[in-house]
Amino acid sequence: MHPRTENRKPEAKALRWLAPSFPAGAMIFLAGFFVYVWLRIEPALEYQAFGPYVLLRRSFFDPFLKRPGGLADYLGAFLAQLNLLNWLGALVFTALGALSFLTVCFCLERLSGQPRQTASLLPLFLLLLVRNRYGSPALAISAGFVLATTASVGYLGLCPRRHWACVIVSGLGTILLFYVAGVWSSAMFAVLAALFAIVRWKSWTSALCPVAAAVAGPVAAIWFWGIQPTALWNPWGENVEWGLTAALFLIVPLVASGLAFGGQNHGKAKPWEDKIMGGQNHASPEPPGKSDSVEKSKPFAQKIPWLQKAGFRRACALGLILAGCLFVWMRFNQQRKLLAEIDYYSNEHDYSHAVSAGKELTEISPAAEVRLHRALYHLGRLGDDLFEIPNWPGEAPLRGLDSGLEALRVQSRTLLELGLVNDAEHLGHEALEMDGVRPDILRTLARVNVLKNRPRAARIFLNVLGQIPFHQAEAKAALAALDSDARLSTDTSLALIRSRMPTTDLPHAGLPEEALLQHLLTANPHNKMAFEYLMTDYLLTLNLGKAVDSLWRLDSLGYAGIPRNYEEALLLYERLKGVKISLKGRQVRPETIERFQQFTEALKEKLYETPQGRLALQKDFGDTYWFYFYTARSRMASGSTKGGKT
Amino acid sequence: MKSPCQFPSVALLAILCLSWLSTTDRSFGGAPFGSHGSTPPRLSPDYAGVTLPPNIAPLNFRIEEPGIRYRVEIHSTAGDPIDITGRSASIEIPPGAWRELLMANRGQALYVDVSVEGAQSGWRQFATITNQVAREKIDSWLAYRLLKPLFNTYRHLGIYQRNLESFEQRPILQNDKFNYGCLNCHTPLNRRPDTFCFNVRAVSGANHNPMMLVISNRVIRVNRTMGYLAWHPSGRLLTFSINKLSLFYHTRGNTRDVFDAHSNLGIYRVDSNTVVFPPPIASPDRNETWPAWSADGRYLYFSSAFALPEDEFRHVRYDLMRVSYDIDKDKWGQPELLVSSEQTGLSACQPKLSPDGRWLLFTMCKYGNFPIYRSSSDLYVLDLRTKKYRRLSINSNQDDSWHTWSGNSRWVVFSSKRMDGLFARPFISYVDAQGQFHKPFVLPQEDPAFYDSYLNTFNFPELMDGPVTVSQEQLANAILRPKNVLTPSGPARPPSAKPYAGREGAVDQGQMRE
Repeated sequence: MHPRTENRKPEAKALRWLAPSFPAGAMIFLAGFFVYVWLRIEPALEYQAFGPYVLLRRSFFDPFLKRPGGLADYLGAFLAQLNLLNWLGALVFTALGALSFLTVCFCLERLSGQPRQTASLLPLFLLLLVRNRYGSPALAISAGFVLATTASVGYLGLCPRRHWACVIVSGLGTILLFYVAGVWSSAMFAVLAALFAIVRWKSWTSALCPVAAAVAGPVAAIWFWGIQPTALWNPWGENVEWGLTAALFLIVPLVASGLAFGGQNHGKAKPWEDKIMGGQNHASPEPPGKSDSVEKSKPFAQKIPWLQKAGFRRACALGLILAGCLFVWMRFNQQRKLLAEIDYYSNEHDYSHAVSAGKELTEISPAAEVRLHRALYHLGRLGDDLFEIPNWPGEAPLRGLDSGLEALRVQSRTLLELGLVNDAEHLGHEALEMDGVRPDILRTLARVNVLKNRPRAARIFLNVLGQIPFHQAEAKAALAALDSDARLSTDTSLALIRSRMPTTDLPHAGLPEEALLQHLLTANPHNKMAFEYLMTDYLLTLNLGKAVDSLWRLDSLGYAGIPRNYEEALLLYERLKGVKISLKGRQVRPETIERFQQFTEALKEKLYETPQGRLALQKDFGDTYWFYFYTARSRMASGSTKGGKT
Repeated sequence: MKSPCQFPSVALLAILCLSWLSTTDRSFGGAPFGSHGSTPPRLSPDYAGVTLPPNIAPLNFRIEEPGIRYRVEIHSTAGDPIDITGRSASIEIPPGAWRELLMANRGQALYVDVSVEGAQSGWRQFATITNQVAREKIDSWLAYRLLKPLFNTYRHLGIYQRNLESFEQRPILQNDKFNYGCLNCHTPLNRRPDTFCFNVRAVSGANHNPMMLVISNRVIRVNRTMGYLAWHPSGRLLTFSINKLSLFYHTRGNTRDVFDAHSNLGIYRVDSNTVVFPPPIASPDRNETWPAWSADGRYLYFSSAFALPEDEFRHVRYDLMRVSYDIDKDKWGQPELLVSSEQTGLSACQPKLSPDGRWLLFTMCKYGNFPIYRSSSDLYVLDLRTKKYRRLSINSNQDDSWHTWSGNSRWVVFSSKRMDGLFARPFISYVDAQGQFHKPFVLPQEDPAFYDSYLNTFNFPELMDGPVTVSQEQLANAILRPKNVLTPSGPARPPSAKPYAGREGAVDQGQMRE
């Protein structure tokens, strides 16, 4: 046979990746991967709660071109738009996972000489762990990872035969990848290329080229372009689990190094050398008499025959995969999912689901609390079931900047509904600055501007909304409506807000809840939402006297009875002050009185003073104002304001 | 050898061409020619009836008339006309042809003919738009701060420079270069791009809110907090304000407001690195702010009001004052009242002197000293020969403020919210020798629809006669890792002033936005 023909056989074998045999196990795993993302993670929740959102215009894209890794981030952000639908978002992530599996599989096979399917699944577990934490830029990270592995496949599979050319390609590839996908991807590619150089030519100096390029890129970026080192190491922001991301990019080089240098073919010509060299392995056959020493130098695993059995190894692989699955399942961040659900369902006006999610929270965020109050108001249960959800002890329901930036977006909507259009505009713009362009903020600000008789400004927000994928139709319809009526007079929700808007000015710094809500009620005494929020403010800030004093408004607002939480506050006030409040024909329900008597009996035992006692009280009275009152008071006295179940 | 089916194909093509030509006017690719309509076309932005600098970038616009084809001819007495025909209503003018046409017609009229072909109605020609090309150029670069119309918090903001002769925009400094601090009040010396100053806020170092000084492209960090800045034309000193400002909000009308509890003017002697508070501009019972020097450096103009408690904010009205100064003798005169708030019933702010020393452009609003937050803000001009002022006809019913003069005193650029009531955009107006301000036009952009979806507001425009060449990295390094640091000697506040004690809601001047 002609030597050239001889050489082609292993080469063709090495290029199997072009038509990979996708093992059934991997197919099953990826199917599970898809189902997990689709049904457990639910990408649509992430889309609503965290974005990111892409604008289809050049000026949005340009900044991504101006920094290393920008293109991968843009790709990730672009793909994240498909999270709008759960199944589509899951499909995209699974496709990235499948690509990751295939490319890693190929790389490991090229470097170790054997298929390494189980090891190739490791990055997928890490991707899922990254995705488990809602709000992390999992798609951008995945895109960067897949770009690195794909580039590695290209390099390992199509590397020029000439040594020097290969070295140059690896250096240039590293630099290019640094620009496209950032420092982590380029470093990963560089390590794999270096390993390949060592394996193929046994040349450590050749390995230096990609490594040097991987170092030179970031140094140049810092030195010449003034890029902050932190922005290079972590281009994804604060919402990233650093260890996981680092592990994702390190796992393939580590496994590859292990397989390349500590593999099973220790002490003899390795199959991968044969494969990579295309049959040109010039290692001479072992001389007679050397076999004993070779046997001694075999790794421990090779000395035990049953360890080499395929069945055992398959069982081990299966066990590892199941353990990985279990680990991913256990590490799922249920609390963050609940917060995302509250955001999602509130945005969809599915308030009962939002409240259901809220009830499961063990610790509440200011934003979730604002959403849940609004959801309860829309369900007509704010005065009855306020304490069925966790509340931040002692905090007012309207939250300004001093309560953190997270709540600005939703607070803006609440203020708008209340009729505080200027304050809604204020917080809406704060949210726009801090959260960036998002459909809900743009909608709110467009409505604010319609209410402030600035239809042209409203159009600007709607035009931007129309540049977000999947929102063009909505924006177009809104713009058409504005064209026909700049006030959107037929929009009932806007008409309701107009009826609630203040008629006089109240200059204010910050967000003085009580003064603003009283101001709204002065302008429109029938503003039921303002009344309920005012009562919520009094109840949550333990202002019993004012809450009781405001009950006279129940008549003018058309309440049939007294909402349960107000009854509870009334009874507590009467007990604490030793007075009897006249309700002008209204009566506290007997069951509330009976429950209060039970509570006072428990109080006599001073149960609320100990954690165990509080738990017992919570079981029976956790949904009452009384329980909130005593736990919030003791927490405020001890200086703890952590938002737990109260 | 010819194909037998070639003849019918050619014949069919000929018939189609003939039928097309018979249904359209052959002059100008089918658009009518000669008969002009009586109504002008609706253009966005409104670039009709304006006076243009001969060196301005193309005024790209969108024709807001329904149609399937659009044709625009731009012509004047000299040079080749520009002809644009297409299916898009967005008209993007070729920059080269535009530049040649404007330069060939300085001081001449510039005509814009617009025709629109309706789906059913054929071509319709609108009334010719007549613009004027001025003889005088405008300074070629405009610096401004870009930020969202935000309130308290900020993430992304920066100072940028725009080449007015093209569409090129470059950052001078973005806050992501120095850990997302704040930056404001960029002030060039006599429109020079190599010598300017600006303030930064919330940065590390001995002073968290220093002033950055760039002198002949050498960057110096001055560890002193300053507010509004004004260069003496000699470049030897800077006047600055120190203000105790607080933001507050309204439930009706304009959302935001600012109250200045206490302010004074100080002098930073660049040549000796000292700070002084001369009594004429740092009076204990008055609040002085918004300094501006006359072109000859003999007068300092400023706003001044009696200090009132915060709940009387609606009664705070600033007078426009000036005080003479001899820089060689370091001798101040007595403050002189130019525009009395008592007489106008309005508050006068932001004086800006024309370089020829003839005009003083300023804003007046109902109260307070932050006109961009007040829709009542209008531009006024004071004739320094006659000391008479008048309201300008170029004002809108929205906020008009933040103005700057060109070096030849023939152009002003100002920020106006007239387009939508929310976002400030830069407008350019021609000022003729008689002091008449001509219809302003918005800064042209390459994309005619640019302003329809742009969420940033243009703040503090300043004309410059060239681009700033000191790099972002140099500026950021001077902020974060300064090599040249000056800590001025002198008092922190006027000896007679009340302490600038912090109080609830108080912010420093750097936090004032837009």
